[in-house]
Amino acid sequence: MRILVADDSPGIGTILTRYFAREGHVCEHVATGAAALRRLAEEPRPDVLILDLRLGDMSGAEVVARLRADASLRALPVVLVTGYAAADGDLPPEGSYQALVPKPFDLQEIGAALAAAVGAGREPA
Amino acid sequence: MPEATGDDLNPSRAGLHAGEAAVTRTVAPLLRGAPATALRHRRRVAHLLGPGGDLLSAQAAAWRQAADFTLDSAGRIVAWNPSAQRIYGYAAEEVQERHISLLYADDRAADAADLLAAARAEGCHTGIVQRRLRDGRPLSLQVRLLALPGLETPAACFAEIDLPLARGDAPPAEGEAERLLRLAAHELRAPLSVILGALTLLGLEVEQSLGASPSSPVTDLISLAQDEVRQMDDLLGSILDAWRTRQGAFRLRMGPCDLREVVDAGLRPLLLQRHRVRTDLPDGAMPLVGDPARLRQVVRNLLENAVKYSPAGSPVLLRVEELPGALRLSVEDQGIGIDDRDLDRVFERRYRGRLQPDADPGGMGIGLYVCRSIIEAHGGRIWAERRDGGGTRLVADLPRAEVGT
Repeated sequence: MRILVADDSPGIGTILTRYFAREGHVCEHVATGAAALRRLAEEPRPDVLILDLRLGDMSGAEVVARLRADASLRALPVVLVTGYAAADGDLPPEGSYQALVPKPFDLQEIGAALAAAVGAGREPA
Repeated sequence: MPEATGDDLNPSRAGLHAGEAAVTRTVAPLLRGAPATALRHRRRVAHLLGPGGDLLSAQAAAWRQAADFTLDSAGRIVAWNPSAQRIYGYAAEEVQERHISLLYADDRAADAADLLAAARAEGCHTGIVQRRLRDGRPLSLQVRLLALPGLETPAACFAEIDLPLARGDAPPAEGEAERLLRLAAHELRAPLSVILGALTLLGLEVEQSLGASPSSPVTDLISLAQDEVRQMDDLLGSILDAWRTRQGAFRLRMGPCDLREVVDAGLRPLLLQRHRVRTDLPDGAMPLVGDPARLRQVVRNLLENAVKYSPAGSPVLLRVEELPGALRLSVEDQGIGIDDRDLDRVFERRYRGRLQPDADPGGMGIGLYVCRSIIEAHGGRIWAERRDGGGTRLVADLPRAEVGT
């Protein structure tokens, strides 16, 4: 599976990239929303996006809105991560993302959320 | 300009969240003349909130005085009850089809959009807002805004019920120290994730390269560090919860849930720590409409409180009883007990009881304060009483809605 992590914390990027590499996936890290949107437009396309709710240049909700407005990315599974309790976050509309994982997360926890999100995305509508 | 007070409008703050179903039914006839869709939607609200209004009918009197109105999907007012007219000063004809931002001062119009977005995201948003009355005076109100579920029609999409706060109930201004603490609590969570992740990877590497068993001294130390990180996260969560509660910014994600699953999940951490907790639960599912994550927090906080104020090893009893229209959750300990004069104070912020001589004095004294906020936000109530034979019993009644009917 090809995973894109968009998080402005270099530490999170390093940890997730190493962990998913161990699990046999290809994982790339970008630090901004703009970089995430650029990378998602390139081949080979990531299969899933792990997205921080707060990035330096735009909110995670804005990234999701742009994805859902793009026909080629509308179905991309998105797992949101946030250091804010979900209650405080600027969440995108329900149904536009597959999972929300609060920080600090266990790696296994985010791995399970990812697998479920990708599985859900593959189910027939 | 002085702020309007809710004192004359709000006979009982005690019923703030409680009698909503009752008031929804009470005001439904008052909405005659409103669009038929609005009335249907109000019935959906009554269904959503369930029969709690009957259980808590003593508190319904306060809610009969609540402003109760309906908004369409764009946030325009489509139904407006007489209490709303009395509180805000606008007649129904004046607000019909007007956007809810009418009720805000010009420089706070963005708050209206935030409120609708919060209700859309959460299904049910509870909080304190400052509005502007027709005569220009500001007024703080406790609002509950429901995004009506499963409705595609744009005719009426939100139902709001709100009560003015009595003077002194307005959220306190956030001090600089409190603001810094809140920001620090938020910001610390990202590095905690990195530390937790690094420890997990370290454990995997050690296991792979040294062939260490899951219980070797090295992996034990890694587990210890992970537990401490999680404990630090719990403390940060407590800081944020206390802040939200104080600001009235508590938000709930309401939905059908099973109290049995909530209890099991809330109990698990205590069992892992080898505390003695006995349970007495009814057979079968215990459905209700609530926020399962918040209710789990209540169960856990009540149990941790009981353990903390009990002699080491003494048993704690967690019980759920089915009452007409409600579920009663109680936690009993055989600890040092609470003085009669303090029974009402245990849910206050920073209240600390007398500890056992060998007890851990950790924590910040806000666990039960947060529990009260969560239970009241569900339309329930919580209290403390002395247990026969010594110790304390903490009891929470939760209104029980029929789910899926």
